[in-house]
Amino acid sequence: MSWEQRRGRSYYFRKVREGGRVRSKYVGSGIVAQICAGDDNDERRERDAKRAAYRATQHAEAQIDRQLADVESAIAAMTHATLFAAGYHQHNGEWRKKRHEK
Amino acid sequence: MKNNQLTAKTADPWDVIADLRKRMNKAKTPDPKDIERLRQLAGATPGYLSFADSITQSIRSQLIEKISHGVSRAYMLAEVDVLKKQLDYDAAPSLDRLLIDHILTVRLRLIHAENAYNTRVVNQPITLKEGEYWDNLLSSAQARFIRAIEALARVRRLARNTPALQINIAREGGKQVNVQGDVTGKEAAPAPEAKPESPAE
Repeated sequence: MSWEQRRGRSYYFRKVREGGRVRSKYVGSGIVAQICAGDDNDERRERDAKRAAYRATQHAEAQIDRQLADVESAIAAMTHATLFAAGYHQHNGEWRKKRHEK
Repeated sequence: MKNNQLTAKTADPWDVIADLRKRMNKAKTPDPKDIERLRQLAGATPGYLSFADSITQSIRSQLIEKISHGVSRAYMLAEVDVLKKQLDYDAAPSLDRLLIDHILTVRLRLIHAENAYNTRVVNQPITLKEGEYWDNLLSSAQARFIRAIEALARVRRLARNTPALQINIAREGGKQVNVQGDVTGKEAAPAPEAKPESPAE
């Protein structure tokens, strides 16, 4: 959104993306344009706040998932170690007990 | 006097352990009597060692702090307690306890993901990208929960130490049939009586 100066007067334009191109749409000048600009500013601020909140949520969720993934891999390692120690081995993803050697 | 004795007898060992831990953490040189008492209590309370050592426990409490307040926290903790009991936590060996701890944690994660999905996606005006993100989050929480349950089931199955019998039956010109079953005798069907062979055959 922007104010543009033409022939010494200020005009308010909205920038709209249409089909990959940015187009300027004339809104007006004077008090009406100022009200529209104020509304647009509020909207933009609200949008930014929402985006920031969404990013913060994403960050928090990613942190939880990272911790859980770490724990999961540690537990998997412990389980494998315990099963190996108990004489099991993996055969095509399936755990089997080793046969006793003669 | 009697009352004191009664409370001393019925005091929850977990509370006593918590008090002892607090006292020992505060003191620069803990009282050897406290150490001995904690040792005895830890040995007599099967769930304690896992509670004290488990990394998943700390993550779980962090998760509860983050995702729940007031009534919802009470419900979550109650659900964790019920699940813990259902999975027979106190009687389980240490590896099982670790796996159960993990199950409880990922169950909370799943509850959180489901709640988030319900409040942010269902009947809400959101972008496709956001919807996709919450959908992926829920799917990964579900997958993680299933993996955790499967890991416990696998360990318990192997720990039963009942070798599964696999018989390969192959006939000439026919398909090979693999039969897998329990050989402990508990689940096995009784063997059919042998038919006397006829002399003509």
